[in-house]
Amino acid sequence: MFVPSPMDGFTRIACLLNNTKLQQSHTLRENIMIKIVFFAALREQLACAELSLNAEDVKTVGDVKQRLSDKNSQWQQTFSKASLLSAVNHDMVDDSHLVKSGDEVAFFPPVTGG
Amino acid sequence: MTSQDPLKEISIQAEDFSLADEVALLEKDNLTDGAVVTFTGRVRNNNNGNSVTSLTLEHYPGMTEKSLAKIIKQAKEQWPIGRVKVIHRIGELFIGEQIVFVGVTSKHRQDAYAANEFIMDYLKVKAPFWKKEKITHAGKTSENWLAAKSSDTDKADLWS
Repeated sequence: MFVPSPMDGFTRIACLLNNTKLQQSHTLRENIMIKIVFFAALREQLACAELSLNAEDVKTVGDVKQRLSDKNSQWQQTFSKASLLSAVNHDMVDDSHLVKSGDEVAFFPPVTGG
Repeated sequence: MTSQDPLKEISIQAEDFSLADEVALLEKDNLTDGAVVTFTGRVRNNNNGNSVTSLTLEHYPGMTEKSLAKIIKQAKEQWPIGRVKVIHRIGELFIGEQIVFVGVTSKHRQDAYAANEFIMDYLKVKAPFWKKEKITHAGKTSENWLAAKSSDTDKADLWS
């Protein structure tokens, strides 16, 4: 069971293991939270499809990555990859992009559709 | 008259599609465009020397539609084209099944050819879809997420 520590910034909303209901779950329960979603290989590696992060003291996408990296060495390795892509509210962004409460931040590997 | 409801230009769906029906929709009441260019992508039975049994397509609901809309908008700004339709399937797809459709109409063929290729090239590197392949090797089945190809990025970069 996922037991969030009060120090790590992750809320009582644990990782959801699949995001099939993503389209319906846009509303956040707390207005100071950032919703974070993961896709494809990234979701499988982290065994996490979605989580919420306390937005206080998080200013940029780079800060979000740093907070997620602090979780453990596996997450640290994942979020240090240069190929990792980031999106905020459905637009591709880079690490310097500012995030605010209520944003949906997504991380995923390079795309392979078509 | 070639106006089209923008919402109907994009469809992300699990279901298969009919090429004939899609062409008919691109042509219906469209008397100004003489060219109809379509591309269909299918699941092939091999990749990097391995025997592929299926592909599973994942996407990012909301962002995928938004990025495809942006790509179509860019194509319309660059070429005088009429109607556009992009269909991308999701879920598990087997050998020979259709994955993706891009249809473009224009007055003359050059614009439809170019815009169609542009949309496919950008879809490959910008739209959030991911493929996982199921392969059989020496009687064993395994699943792998496909790695992005630099040749796809290089191809898309040629347009800019």
